[in-house]
Amino acid sequence: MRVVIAEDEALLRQGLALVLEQDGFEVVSAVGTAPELETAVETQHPALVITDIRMPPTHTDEGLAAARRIRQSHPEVAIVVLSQHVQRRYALELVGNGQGSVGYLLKQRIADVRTFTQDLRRVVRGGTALDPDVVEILLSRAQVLGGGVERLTPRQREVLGYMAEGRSNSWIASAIGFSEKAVVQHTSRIYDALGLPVDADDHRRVLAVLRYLAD
Amino acid sequence: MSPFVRQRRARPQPITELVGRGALLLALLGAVLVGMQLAAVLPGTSQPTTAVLVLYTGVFVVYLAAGLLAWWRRPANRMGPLLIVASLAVFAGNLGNATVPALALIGDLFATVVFAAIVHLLLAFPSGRLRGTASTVVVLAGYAVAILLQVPILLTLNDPAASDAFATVQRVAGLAVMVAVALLLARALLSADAAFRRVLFPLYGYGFFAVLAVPASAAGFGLLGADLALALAVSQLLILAGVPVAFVVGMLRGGFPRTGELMELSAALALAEDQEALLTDALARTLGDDTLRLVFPSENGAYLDERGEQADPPAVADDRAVTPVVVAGRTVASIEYDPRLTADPEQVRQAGQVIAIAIDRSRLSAELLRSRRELLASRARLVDAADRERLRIAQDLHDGLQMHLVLLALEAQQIAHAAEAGADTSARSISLRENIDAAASDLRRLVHDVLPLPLVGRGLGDAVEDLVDRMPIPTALEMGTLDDIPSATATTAYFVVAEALANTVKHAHADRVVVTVSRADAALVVSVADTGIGGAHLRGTGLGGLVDRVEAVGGSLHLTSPPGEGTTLRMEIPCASS
Repeated sequence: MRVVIAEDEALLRQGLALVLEQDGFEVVSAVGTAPELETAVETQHPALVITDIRMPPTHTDEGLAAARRIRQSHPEVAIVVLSQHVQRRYALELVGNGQGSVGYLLKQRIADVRTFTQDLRRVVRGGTALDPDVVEILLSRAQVLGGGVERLTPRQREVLGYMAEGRSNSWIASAIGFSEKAVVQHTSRIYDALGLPVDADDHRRVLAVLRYLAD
Repeated sequence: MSPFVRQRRARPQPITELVGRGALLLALLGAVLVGMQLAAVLPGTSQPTTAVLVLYTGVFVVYLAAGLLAWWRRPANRMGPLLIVASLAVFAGNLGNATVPALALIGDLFATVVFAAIVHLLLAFPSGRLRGTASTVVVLAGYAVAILLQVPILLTLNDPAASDAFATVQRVAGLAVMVAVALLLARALLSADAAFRRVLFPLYGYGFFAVLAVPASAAGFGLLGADLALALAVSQLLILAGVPVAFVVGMLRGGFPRTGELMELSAALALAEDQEALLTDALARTLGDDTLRLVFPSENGAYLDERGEQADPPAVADDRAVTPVVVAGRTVASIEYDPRLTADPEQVRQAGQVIAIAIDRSRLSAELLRSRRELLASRARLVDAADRERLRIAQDLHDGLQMHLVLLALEAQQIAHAAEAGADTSARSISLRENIDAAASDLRRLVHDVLPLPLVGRGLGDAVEDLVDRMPIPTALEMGTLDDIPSATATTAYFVVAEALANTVKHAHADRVVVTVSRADAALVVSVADTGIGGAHLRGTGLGGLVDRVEAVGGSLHLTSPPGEGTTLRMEIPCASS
């Protein structure tokens, strides 16, 4: 699987490339700036782009802006945006347009290599990967504002969080030690409690949950 | 604001320009009047009479020219306009010699108005303004005697006895007015300085003499032969012509010509609530010179204006002259003016002396304003420096330590996954990785507290929204457009909101918070209001530390927190829209 990496810190860029190569990804280009990233997307036709948010020259959010432009010009390319700090607004901006194939993760998540590469593959397959930290912000905000989340049981809240992260039922089942069937029951109870339409598709499910949480 | 300044601001053009234009127009009008009058009085007269009538018109020209000169040189002084009015009285008086009966009647009616005008000039000298009710009453009486008492004389011309009787009434009334004038002038002389008295005395004497002698000598015409009568007429006209010349010379060269304006200036100084820029305006008006500049030498050889702003040093050029203002042997200011408008530096010096004390106060204010500005600038620089340092630390941690923690955690995870690792090593490596992740998470929070990098990248709105998103109690956010906010202002506002929200969470027991961030007029306004227990204090909380910071960027912080009624923190920072 062809991957382009954009990360301005050379050591981290190399470390990330190494990890990906070991896991069977093909790193076709590893660059340090947003313009280089967009050129690489044009010339290398990657299946996946992994980009840092802060990059030269302004060190603000050019990775995010580049990601947005690539989603416009190359909707077939999956994108995972990495950052040292996650924010609700960026999450909604990235995931909210409903196309899927997008991820928004804390940089530190790279270290848990297996989970990280699983997230990458899920995104390439059209799924979503939202960082647990940003999901936690969304959930507690929804709970504080009182739109129904506060009525969920702790277990249901946990399952809702995994759903928002973009996890599949089977993943959730193994994470909480339930059978997949039990997870499906949980999810439908959550749907009922929140008044959401039932949807088997993981990504559309994420969208529905996000829209619910973002209100 | 003083009425003084308002007057000046209302004037759209420099006064000299306006007066220049007005004077030119009046001079042209005068020339036309001269032509008209000569055409009206000359026809049918013989040689010597013609000469006298031409001389009479000449007297009109002298009055008009004197008035225009006075007005042009002293636009703020009313003597000029008064002299112009007097010139019209002379003009009207000469119409009495016109061959057209209607014109002659007008002339006869206004025959003695010139004396009332001279009384007016005497009492209004040197400012051109009457001071005191007595002066005003006497001047009005003078005009009444000259015009109203003339009417019955003209109506009874066919009855010489009655006409003479009315003329006597007019003369007696006129004498009564002149006694009052004499008293008023004597009072003015007594209250004047010795130096002024030397000029006032001959001037008053001459004017007084003219008013009494010319009408009195008119009785002589009947008794004298033709030649002597001609000589009398010529000397009457010459005496009258001397009056405006005396006034203008006295006004422009008398050494006290600005008294009127200077009195007005002192009054303005006493009235003024806001001293800023008053002196320059006042001086400019007093000297009738809009280009006038008042500058104060500062310690370092530079010059400041009244507002404490840097000013160009005073410069001498063709159209610029400089006169120092000296207090106790020290030059406290320099007046730079246009010598074409004020030829005598002595006048500028005198004007400067009158307000020297005020100037010294102004100079001290200017110095104070400057040092206050420097202090504010230095505080702002400190805040900027601190912000830059925060940014550097945040970026260094982000690019250095945070990245290394990712790599270390990655390394630990690699060891855990290595084929040759035993179960124990693997478990310990994973635990190590998790601990590193926990440290990274702490570091992330620390970096965010030092300076949230999204604030630098995406601005105040996004950063405040992120704060609100993380609030554990219901928090509403109302935000306007927040473009082009200077970074020091944005950072200050962010820290104020962050600290206020942290306090609310920790102490307020509130069930609701409203955060508003908006740009009203030329200020950034932030408020954080909660429904908690109130009783908060600005000092003694983390907010106390922010007060200095807010003030350093020119803003203010207000806390309203009555016990039991919630807490509202409001911050306002001036922030001009670009």
